[in-house]
Amino acid sequence: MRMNWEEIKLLQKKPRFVYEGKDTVPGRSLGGSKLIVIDITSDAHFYSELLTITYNTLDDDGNDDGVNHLSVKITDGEIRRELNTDFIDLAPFAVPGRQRTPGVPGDPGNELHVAGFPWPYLWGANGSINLDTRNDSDSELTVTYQFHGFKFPTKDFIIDG
Amino acid sequence: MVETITRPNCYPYIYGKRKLEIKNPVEHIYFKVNKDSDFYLYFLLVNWPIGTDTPDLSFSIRDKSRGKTYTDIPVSITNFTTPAKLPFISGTNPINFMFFKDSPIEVIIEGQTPGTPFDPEYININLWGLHQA
Repeated sequence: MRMNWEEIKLLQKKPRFVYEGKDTVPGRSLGGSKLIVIDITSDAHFYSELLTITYNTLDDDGNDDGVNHLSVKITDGEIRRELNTDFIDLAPFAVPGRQRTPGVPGDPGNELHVAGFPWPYLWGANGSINLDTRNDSDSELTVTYQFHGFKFPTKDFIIDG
Repeated sequence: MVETITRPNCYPYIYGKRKLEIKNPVEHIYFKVNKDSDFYLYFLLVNWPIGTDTPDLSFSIRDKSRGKTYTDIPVSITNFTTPAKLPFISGTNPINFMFFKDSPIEVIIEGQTPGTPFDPEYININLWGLHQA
């Protein structure tokens, strides 16, 4: 494959941007779900390259056991396109490696994250990134989603299709 | 002058199952590719509670409808997710395997000790790839 230098230069000139959605997801006994919506502003379309996620890992009793309790369904709110089956577990792509079992010695830490997972997707201006998040712990959990990418100003670009 | 961006015909997609219990020495797990898109599988992402279990888990992947197999012999998961404490992305080798629309994806996992089930509390599996309309 031959690298297209002109395209790389054009991409590097585009303004970098991060969209963030952060919220608390209530515990299981209080419904255990939260729809987190990231609104794409009207001034630009957004092409995301990476998705990073951080969250905490509290068990039913509020202890940090290092085990993930969150799952998510990601949808493009503009064209109603679902981007995964059912509710996928956050852990396999948003924490390092395997999980820790409760009772095993060690400090699982409070926040877990990776440097970024590929998420090449074009989000239209005025659209939204819908992150329907579920929690199967009885403790309230906090989660932050960040989409890293480029803006394509609507005064210069329209989306076809 | 306003430029037109054509919406890409491929987009990221994750097929996932969470908290699967493993009961058999060789476990077959199935996913079904959507009817309207081919699926280019890029990463197999797996994790499970450590407990007293070793990380010795093998897997193979195949498209049963075409008789195509990515790995004929189950290969150790440690080739794809080492070591446990590193970020997953840096320890995960790309798989690069195409499944056509509406075809079954079969993931076969087994423990390293023949006849003995790999026995974590549960296992999470995500298949990360690109849908191509």
